[in-house]
Amino acid sequence: MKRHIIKDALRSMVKPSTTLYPRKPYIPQEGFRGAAEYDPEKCVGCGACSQTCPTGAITYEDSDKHRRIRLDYGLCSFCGRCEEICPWGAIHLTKRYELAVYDKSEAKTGVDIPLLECVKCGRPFFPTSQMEASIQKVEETLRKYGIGKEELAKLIQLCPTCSFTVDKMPERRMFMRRLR
Amino acid sequence: MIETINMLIGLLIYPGLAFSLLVGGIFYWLYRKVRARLQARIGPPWYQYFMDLIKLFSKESIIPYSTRGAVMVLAPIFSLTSLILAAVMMPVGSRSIFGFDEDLIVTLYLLAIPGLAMIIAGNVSESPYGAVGSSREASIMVGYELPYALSALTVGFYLRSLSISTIVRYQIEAGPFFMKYPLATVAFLMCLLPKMGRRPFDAPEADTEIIGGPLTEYSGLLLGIFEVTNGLKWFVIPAFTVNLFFGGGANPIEFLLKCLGIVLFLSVLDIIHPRYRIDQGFRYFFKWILPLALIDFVRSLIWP
Amino acid sequence: MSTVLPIGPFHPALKEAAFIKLEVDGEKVVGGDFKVGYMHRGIEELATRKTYHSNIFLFERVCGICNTVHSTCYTQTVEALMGIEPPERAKYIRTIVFEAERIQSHLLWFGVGMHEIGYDTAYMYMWREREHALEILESICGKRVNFGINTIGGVRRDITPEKERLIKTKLDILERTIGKIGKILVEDKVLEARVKGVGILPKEEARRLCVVGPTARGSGLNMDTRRDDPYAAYPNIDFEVPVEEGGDVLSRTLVRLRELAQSVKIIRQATANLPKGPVASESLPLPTVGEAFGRVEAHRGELVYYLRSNGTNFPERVKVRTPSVVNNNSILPMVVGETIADVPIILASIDPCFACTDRVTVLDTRKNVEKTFTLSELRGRRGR
Repeated sequence: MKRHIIKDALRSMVKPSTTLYPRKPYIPQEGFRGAAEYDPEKCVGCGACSQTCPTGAITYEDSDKHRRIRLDYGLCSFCGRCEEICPWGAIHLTKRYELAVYDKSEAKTGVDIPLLECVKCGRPFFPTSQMEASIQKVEETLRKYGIGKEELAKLIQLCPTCSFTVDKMPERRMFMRRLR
Repeated sequence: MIETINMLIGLLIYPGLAFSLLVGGIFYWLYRKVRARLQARIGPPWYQYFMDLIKLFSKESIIPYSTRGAVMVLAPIFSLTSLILAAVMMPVGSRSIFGFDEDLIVTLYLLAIPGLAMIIAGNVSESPYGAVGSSREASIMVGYELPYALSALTVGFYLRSLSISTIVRYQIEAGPFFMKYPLATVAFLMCLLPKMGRRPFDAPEADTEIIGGPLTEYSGLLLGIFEVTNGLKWFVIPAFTVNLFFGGGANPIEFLLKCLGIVLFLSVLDIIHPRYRIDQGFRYFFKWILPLALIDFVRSLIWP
Repeated sequence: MSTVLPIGPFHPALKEAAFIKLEVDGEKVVGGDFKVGYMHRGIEELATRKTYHSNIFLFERVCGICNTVHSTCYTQTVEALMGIEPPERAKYIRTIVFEAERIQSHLLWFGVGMHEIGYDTAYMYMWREREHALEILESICGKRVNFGINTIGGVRRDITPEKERLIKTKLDILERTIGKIGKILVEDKVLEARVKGVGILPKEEARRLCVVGPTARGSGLNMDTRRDDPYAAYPNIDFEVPVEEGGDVLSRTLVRLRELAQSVKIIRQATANLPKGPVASESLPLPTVGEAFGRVEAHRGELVYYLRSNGTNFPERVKVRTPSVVNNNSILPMVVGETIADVPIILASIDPCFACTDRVTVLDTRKNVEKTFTLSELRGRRGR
């Protein structure tokens, strides 16, 4: 009368379909979207991840020496937009899903980027690695015109207030003459 | 002096409270483990029942404001006491410490008290779930107590004796009773299912319909006493069945093995069935189980 | 003399919080009332403060079981508003994820339904088979719930040939399971005594209450948005729509069982005919001022989205009409006259999703007026 249930029951007795988690760990498949981790070598502090995060879990604030980028796991929705949009490949979603902590301030991850100081007034304003990456992108052109990196740096590494005065700087006139 | 100590040991340790609770807890664990394994899960460890008891005894027991608190406290105490007395009178192996000449009838009465205690508990706790649960328990008791008592008395009438020890001794010599009265055995086994609260007849405690049934408002120590009763039931009722119909056992080891068989049978029947509605269950008992018990009862009266 | 038996907000028969107040006389139900509002989260208001792209991830979280349904319907509505068309491969991938989620949702429903009538063994077996559907979804999308596979203009991940092989293996296992479920349902007498002839919704009553989805198809109404108003890859796929005439819980169960078999068939056709090409379109214009309207066939019925845009990157109004809003109206007519023991299985047979249901409505019986409060009015009342 109940043939199928009894057959199923005997087959299940031999092979249970639950494991002794958490004594035996469970590894998810490839491509699983778990907790995100930053790569401090590659991150330049551009802030694209915090612009696109749908929940606002990634925030950044500039203190006097560092730009602090923080990702709060409590607000993260594990969607993967930050990984998709990062131009430098500096954030990856790992396979880690056991994120319970006793202290809420431990459920964060992030990166601290040292800030560059303005060559004129000395105020820190821009992440160092982003400046280096930008200068690296125009390296070819610089070599063509025979301009050194330090010379360019003196003209670019100006904070927003000081960059209004770049028209009057003597270095700029010499630089523009070189370009012609 | 020796007599008193003997009696105290019998009442509290073997085969009284401690032994019955231990064996009952192990049988309950076996039921849960077999159930889990047949459902493709792993199941609890062996100490789960005892840990649950310790947890329940350490929690606070809340009595609702508008009930009669005295009755609410007495109901679990009655059910526990009756089961301890029944356990003490039950022959284990072939000796019984407190058995006497009319203990079949007394055991039948004592084993009906837990059901009554549940009815009282459901009614006195002033919750609609309790009221529905206790009315369901009353209906199903009407359904199964009659074939249960008739099958048990069949055996007694055959031997013209009401002592369980006599029944056990007769079966050790002449063979178990399920060969002679198979219909009464089947009826008795089916009546065990609602008595222990197992599917397909566990409508009084249906948790998806009426949360906890009669025990909804119980918590803490009082619920712990009901759980102790549940554990004792898992020893006393298979023991009663084995003593009446399956030979009893010449020594405790054989006896416990036969009880294990009854426990496994109850587990398998519990797993493969959904739950009957209360009116369907009631009709089932009157339509199929009562005639079986009546046939064998009449047979035992007419052909001695 | 009738007592009041409350089902909920906390009850083992409900998966989410709702309040069903039954008036019972012994074991028979003679009346009742139905109140929702315990799961209101203000999602429609929050959607007007986030960009169109962020809202994809927000709307996935309206319901716990039908995630990609909401996400797909929202994305299709936004694409209609912007006037872009996703590539063919994206449409097929959306269909595969959609139907895999339907398999997962119906197997979950089977398990829950069996648990309501006390058949825990069948509950465990069906949830074991559900793991195969979840593994298909995990391999394609990377997560088991809240997939985030949609983006405006296509999908975010592609299906490699290795994933196609995994999908085929799992589909074979699922087909065997569905056959086994059918046999279990048919050969069990106790099960039949609990579900047959219980909770009958006649055809005219179903039409008057405007129910949708398997609830309607179990009462003889032949409606399915995938066939009547096709979207994604459904115009190119051949499938049937199961309809039963009984109107009781057994008919709805059989409708869902046949839909499972049809879903497997749809996924097989979609994987076999997967066209090559990109998975997302490259250009994304800003939405023009206007309105758009989109609907899909969710697991519980027809889901409707309405979107209004004022030219910026933030939507002006998003309105969601989920199928549970209309299906829940049919609970009370079905339950009155049945016994208490049948109420959980009748409630489970329309597959209610109370998280999708909540809108705040105020009924003033003295003035006979009905008004719906918006979130800003509620905030004003609290004095903030």
